[in-house]
Amino acid sequence: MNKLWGVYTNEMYKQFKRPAVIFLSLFIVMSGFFLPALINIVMSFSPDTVSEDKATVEAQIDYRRNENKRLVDELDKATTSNADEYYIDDLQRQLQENSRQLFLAEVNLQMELYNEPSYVMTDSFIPHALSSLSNADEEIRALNSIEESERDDSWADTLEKEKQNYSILMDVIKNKDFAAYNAYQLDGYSDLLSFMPEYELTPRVEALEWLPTIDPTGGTDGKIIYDDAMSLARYASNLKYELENNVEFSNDYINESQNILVLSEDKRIDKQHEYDILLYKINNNQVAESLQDPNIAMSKNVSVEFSNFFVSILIFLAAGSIVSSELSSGSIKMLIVAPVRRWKIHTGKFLALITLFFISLFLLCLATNIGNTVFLEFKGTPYLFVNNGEVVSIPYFIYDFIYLVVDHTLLFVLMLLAFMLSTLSRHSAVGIAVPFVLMMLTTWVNMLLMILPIGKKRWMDFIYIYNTDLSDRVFPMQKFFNLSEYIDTSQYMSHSNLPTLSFSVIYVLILCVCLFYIGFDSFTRKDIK
Amino acid sequence: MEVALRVNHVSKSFGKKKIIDDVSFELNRGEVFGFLGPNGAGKTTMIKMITGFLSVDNGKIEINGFDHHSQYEKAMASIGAIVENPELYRDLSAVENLKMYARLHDNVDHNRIQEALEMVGMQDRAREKTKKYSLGMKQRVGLAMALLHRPQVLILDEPTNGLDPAGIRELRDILKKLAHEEQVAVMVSSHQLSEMQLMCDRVGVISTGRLLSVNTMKELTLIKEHESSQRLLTPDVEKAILSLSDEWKDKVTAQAEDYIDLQINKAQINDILRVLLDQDIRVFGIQTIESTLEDAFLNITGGGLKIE
Ligand SMILES: Nc1ncnc2c1ncn2[C@@H]1O[C@H](COP(=O)(O)OP(=O)(O)OP(=O)(O)O)[C@@H](O)[C@H]1O
Ligand SMILES: [Mg+2]
Repeated sequence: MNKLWGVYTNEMYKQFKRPAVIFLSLFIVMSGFFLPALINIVMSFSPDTVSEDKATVEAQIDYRRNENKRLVDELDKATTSNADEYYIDDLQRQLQENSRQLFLAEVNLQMELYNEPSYVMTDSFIPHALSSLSNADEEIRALNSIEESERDDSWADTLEKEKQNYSILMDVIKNKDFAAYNAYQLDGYSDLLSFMPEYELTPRVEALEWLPTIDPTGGTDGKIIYDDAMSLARYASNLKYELENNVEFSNDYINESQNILVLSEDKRIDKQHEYDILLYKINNNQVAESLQDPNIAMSKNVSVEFSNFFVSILIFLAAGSIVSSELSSGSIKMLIVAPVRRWKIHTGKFLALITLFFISLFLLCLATNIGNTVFLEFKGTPYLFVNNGEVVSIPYFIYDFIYLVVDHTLLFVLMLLAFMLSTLSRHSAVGIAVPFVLMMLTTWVNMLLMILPIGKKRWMDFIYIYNTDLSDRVFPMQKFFNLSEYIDTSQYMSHSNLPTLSFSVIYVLILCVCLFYIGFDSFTRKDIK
Repeated sequence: MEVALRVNHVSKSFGKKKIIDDVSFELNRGEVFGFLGPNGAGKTTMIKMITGFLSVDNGKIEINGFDHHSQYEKAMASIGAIVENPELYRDLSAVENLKMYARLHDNVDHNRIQEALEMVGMQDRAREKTKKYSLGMKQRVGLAMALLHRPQVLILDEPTNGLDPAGIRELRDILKKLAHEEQVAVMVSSHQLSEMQLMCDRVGVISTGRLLSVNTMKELTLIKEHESSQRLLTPDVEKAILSLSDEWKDKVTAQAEDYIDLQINKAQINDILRVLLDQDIRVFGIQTIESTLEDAFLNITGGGLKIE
């Protein structure tokens, strides 16, 4: 084993003395680290300052007032001159919208909302509260405009209720009081009891009850976007309802309705796991991280994808020439003359390649994580999965690295192909180019397969493309990693088309063994002329 | 005498072409063995089989008593070799190259690397990348590498290739010293006979894959002396030949307008002169033509040294 270790050490030493390997490793680190900085520059054209200034709001109010006057005049004229019905309708709508904007601008001025950071005005519950407020205002005005003779018994009650709503909402906005707003919303649902089917109402109410746990500030601290928190809460409450009632919601997009199916056993398990994990996250305050800005998650992905390119080149360059370059330059002589059996030379080189594979992925992982953390304040959340009903948590960095490794199954297989080719041909170009072209082709074919409506046949299970993409099946819970997937779960690709995980793993293993063995057999018996 | 390398009825074909045909020889400790043959004779092929580049089709190779096939690592542990030109890792320095080679052997420490470099006179430029080396410098580093682990069998394929005259002499001295003082078995291949003459104790002649003969250098020198000839300068060539008896006529190897070559040794000069002078044939001079080793070999092998 001494000799094997010697071959291995020599190989590692040699690889890291190769200028190409040094440069590519540097590229991996540089692009992984600095790409987030670039993305940061591109994304931060709109700096996070206050939304407006007082003068703008005042000007807006002036404008809206004038506009209101103009519209009222025009409407008067139109009604007296018996103008076209549609025209009048249109004017009325314009007037309504303008009054609404005027009202909002006045509230803005009155409460000095223009001093708030812009995320409060866009990403918190405040815009929703404002919208409710203007509804109440409109409602009140509408009620007041009803002729006294036409007012019915409930008129006074309704007005009273709306006024109450109005003042509640004013307080909510003034104090940015999320708890009060949530209570107000919950109260609103009690009115809907008679209209909404129970299976829609219950999850909604449940979601509202969860919201303060997810984010007690309702998004006003700029950490979690209110809509995102809401989506998450809805997702969780839907899951809970489905599990408790043994049903499954399925969205019918054509009729824009929600169907209810009976929950099948295997889906039940999946959903139970999802639910457990969500609950764990909510209860352990881990939602904020997983609900971080999708742009940051995207930046992470982009930097990984981009640096990946260098990883592939590095691996193919090393593996595709590891034997052939020695054959063509003649430096293999040193190894052959040494008292080392051929299989040790081959295996030593193989182990060196595997090490290089892990090193380059480690560099990729390290660089992209540090880069995104430094420049974009990226924060990874631990990967959670359910084992025997217990939620298990893997620290983020370890998860990210394992994920990268699994996600590079294809690269690993192609590395073995390159290695094999390099023992078969003394032209390094073959060993480098063939796997590279195959990798490109795989990407394109994958895309085609996604776009084209090709039916799934049994024999397709045996194509490598369907078996080398393991990450989604090994980490089924990774969709909790970023938010975009909560928002429209229908986008989540169903993997029912793919062979089972164990089939793919065995497939990949057999493929690797074959590739390794062909090279091994050829190298150990080769006449080096 | 202890046998260090035994090659026993070894054959090798590339495709259908037989490159090595039933070759057997032994290499003893303490001797320098010359492996002589023209281009394409199969010298490199034989050496590549011994050093593990090529598989052996038929026959057996034994090194230091270890079977080359079943006890490969033990057998190869006592071999140091340069096959054709030494090829080093271009991006690494000589020291780094030697360090890498040392990792593949037991018991080679840093001091030994330094020692080997000094032995070949490369200690001063040992830290430069080898891609900057000249052929001769590479050859020297190659030799240092081959000697690094103190091998008991040293096999060098055309080692003087690229060396300057001083380098060649140094190499010769190193090899002789290794063989005669340290009891290393040295095998050197070459197509240059003169080179062999200066350093080998025995010479095996190979041509088109067959080992034609194995002779000691002493035997060869005797043959050579035996076969040197004398040139008689005379204007009367025709007359002179006519005057010789049949016994003498057989010894004539060449004639021209003004000389006759006779394959006789120095002791016979007087006799022939007497014959010629008796007949009044003028003799202007006598030159001794030294037979070359080439001629000696041609004789041994019956003119069998052909390039494929
Ligand atoms: N790679 C090869 N493929 C096929 N035949 C080869 C190969 N290498 C050598 N040969 C053949 O093997 C024979 C012996 O070649 P080898 O290299 O052993 O000769 P050599 O004695 O070392 O010659 P030289 O003095 O030129 O180095 C030649 O006839 C050559 O044509
Ligand atoms: Mg040769």
